[in-house]
Amino acid sequence: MHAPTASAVLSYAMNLPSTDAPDEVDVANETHEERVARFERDAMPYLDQLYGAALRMARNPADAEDVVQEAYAKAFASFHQFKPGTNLKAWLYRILTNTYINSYRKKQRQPQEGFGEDIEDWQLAAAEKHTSTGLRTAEMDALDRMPDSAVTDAMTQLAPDFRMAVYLADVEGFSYKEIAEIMGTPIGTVMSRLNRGRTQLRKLLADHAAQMGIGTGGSDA
Amino acid sequence: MREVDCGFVEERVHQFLDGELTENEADELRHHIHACAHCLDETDLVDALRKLVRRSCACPPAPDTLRLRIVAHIKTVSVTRIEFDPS
Repeated sequence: MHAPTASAVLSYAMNLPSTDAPDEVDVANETHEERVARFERDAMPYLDQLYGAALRMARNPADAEDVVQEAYAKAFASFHQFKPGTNLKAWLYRILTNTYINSYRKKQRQPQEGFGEDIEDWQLAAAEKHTSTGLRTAEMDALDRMPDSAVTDAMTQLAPDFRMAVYLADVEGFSYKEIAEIMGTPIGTVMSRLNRGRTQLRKLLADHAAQMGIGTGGSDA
Repeated sequence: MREVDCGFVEERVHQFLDGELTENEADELRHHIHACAHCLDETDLVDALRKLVRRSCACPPAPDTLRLRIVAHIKTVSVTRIEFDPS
């Protein structure tokens, strides 16, 4: 028996040479006009999704537009290296993610307010363990009534790596393997960022609910 | 099937909900969760959080001006390359 391993399947799904080219595109010999047309047809439909991701990564629409525009320029410049029929969405997300990471590292003006990666997990775990069943019911109630803006605000307070992992998993529905490819990290790192990102998010939302007097910690009469 | 405890479930609840556990491990978790009110509540909460994030992060479509800028850019790049193409 000779079954392909999971990693082999993933490689094919991403950007490695594949024996069959379902689209029959002659990438090496296509004209620039053909390449532009193929790019418009295949890559441009992801614009809304990529822009949405950039909006959640960056802190304002202007930055998001810059990141998306730069990512699309890079994607077009290396579009001849993309293997037709493989996972274009994940390929574009990887370029977007790298562009974003490079831009915020370059600017070095990332104020890491609130939670960072330095928050100790045991503090969160300890807080969690003391939550009684009654409080958990209240927390669920608070989550049900949480306004969207509170969630997106809390997302911006996560460290960028955590925020991206949560976004790619929960909003885009990528698998851990795809996220690992997109973020260029081992799957174990994806899991840890996702677990910690969600746990921090939950804590932030619980705090928000307490401040607003809904659910957990709310001192209602 | 192994008997697993709350700690085991706590460590894997995200993978469980994301469909990233093996069938065996998922069964072990399910078995425990159905018998443990604490873990059932915790699992429901994490799941509610995942769904809340998905719902809240729905974004407006990209501005038309951005789309036009990108398309204009890639067409310009092509023209430039053709101009410098020695053949």
